[in-house]
Amino acid sequence: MSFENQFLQFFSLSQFLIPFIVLFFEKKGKLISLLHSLGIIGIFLFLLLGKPGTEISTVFGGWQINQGVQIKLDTSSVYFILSASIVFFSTIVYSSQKKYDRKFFFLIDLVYGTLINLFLSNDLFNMYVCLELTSLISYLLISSKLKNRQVWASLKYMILSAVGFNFYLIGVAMIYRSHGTLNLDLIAISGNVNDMALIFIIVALLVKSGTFLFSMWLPSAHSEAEIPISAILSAVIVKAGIFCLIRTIPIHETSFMSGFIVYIGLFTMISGMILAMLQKDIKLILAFSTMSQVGYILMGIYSNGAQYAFCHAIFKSSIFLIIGIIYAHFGTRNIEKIKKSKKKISILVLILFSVAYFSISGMPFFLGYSEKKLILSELPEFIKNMSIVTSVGTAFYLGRIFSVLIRKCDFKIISIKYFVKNELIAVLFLAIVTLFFGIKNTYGMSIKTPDILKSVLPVISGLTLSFIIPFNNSEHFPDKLFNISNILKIYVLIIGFFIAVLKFAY
Amino acid sequence: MNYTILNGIIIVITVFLGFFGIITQKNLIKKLLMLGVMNVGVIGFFIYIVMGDLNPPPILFKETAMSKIIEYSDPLPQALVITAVVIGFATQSLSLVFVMIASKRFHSIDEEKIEIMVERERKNEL
Repeated sequence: MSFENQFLQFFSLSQFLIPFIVLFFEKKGKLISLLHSLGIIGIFLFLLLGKPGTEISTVFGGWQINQGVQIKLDTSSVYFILSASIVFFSTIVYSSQKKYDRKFFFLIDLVYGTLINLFLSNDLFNMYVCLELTSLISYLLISSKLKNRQVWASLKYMILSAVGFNFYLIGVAMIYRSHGTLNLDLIAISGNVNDMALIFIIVALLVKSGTFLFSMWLPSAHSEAEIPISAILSAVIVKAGIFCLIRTIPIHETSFMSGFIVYIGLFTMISGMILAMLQKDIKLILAFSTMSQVGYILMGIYSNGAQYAFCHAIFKSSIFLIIGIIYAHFGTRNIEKIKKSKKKISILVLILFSVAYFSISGMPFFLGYSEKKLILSELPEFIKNMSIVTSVGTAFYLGRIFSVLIRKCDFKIISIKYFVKNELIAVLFLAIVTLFFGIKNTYGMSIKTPDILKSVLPVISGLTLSFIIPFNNSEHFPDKLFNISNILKIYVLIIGFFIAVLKFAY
Repeated sequence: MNYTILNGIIIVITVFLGFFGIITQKNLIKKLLMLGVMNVGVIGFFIYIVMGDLNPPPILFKETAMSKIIEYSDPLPQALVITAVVIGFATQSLSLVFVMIASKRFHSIDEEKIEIMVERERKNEL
């Protein structure tokens, strides 16, 4: 066994050991979890920039591929692990001065280790175990303060994802019956995957990954959790389901489900945008914005969804952490009340918010611009037009927060003493990462002036609209869609629809 | 009637019964019980896919007539099922704890009533 393989096995197993070290050392726990994520950032930044296209796969215990558990490190897992490490590092820095106990840091480190193992796994059952462990810890994290709404949000999430995972197991059993293995490489080589099994597996993964109609647990869970946990949920844990969809590409790329995934992405992108426009709760706006961005990633799942998932993880966590600073300063989540309040906020918050805002809406020289272009270049013409509409919408609903911040910002307050230092360092770190990768990726591609105009104009028009159009007083939240029984009925309809398409159209 | 077909029918009925129960029951405890029923059905499905050929269990006996049997049923799905059982147990016990907390806070375990209360609380706070 070569050094690389042994290192990968050691790396994978040690992820479950470090959280218990964090739990054991009472005061140095935070420091250990910080070093943990910082070390992994170092390793994977080297892999991404120094050795692009690395691919290592190894089987635990030196068995043959069909006898043991295989783990695999490829480009998409490098992107996912790097984004997870950056997000976890900055959230640990962000929450280190607040009064969170060591159990909180233990759980955060455990979910981080599990996610890394998920991003390395290469068989269907290993994925199931890692995803379920991630979800179990995230239920605990969502309800960490045991507020009424947190308990309810996490209960809802629990029931829906438990049903989703029962579907997943049915699909896995079907594939095992026909292929006799669960390793994704071996299944892809033998081909001919049962379409019914694919329906069950893909529906279950879409339930986890935050798509419209499939995962309606998302808005309540992401808006009710504490701020650092919302950032982790939106940036990384939602990506766990998407990563499994990307890993299973070899078995569903040529099947009839591949077209549906792209159109589910389009549908999610538009409906998430519309729902985000109708809210006045800042965290709910961000939760629906996550849904809309997941749509983008799903549309690019067969081209470069992994890169866009990396970008989204970084700027979304940055926006959530800045919203945390704003929420702590004004003491309310209602955007109208913030507008009416007499307090002022420092210009630094505005600058940091604008970095994240321009990257989420796709400005050139910011993170996410070149990735969005690459995703759209391989899609049909009408999807491109819809994406222009969506980028106007995105610039509009986040521009409302931007316009309120401009009105509230005080140009005289620049000093860092004004803030809790750790929070500012965390957000500053994310902004630097955003600018670094944004400038590097934009220079990497050949850009022409009309291309730049095409992506700048929607953002500017959305931003001006957000200054012109006044806030609506009533909030539109489709309660009926978020009821557990109704969501389950929707699952029945969707699975029935897929089976009908399979029986009659193919 | 062939036993394998009968078993298959029973397992499919269990899965659908559980899923139907989760949709129709408004009471959260009943919902979780039906989730357990669905989980049992799915685990049964895993066992069903290996016992389809009715081979003997994968246990080696020393120097008996049984040791000459070459074909055994596949042991792997049973190992997978143990993991699935443990995870299902963990999910269900954790959700029962949350139902307990919810019943203390809201004085109700009816799904729709809690949903209305939660929504009202959220709108009041905004």
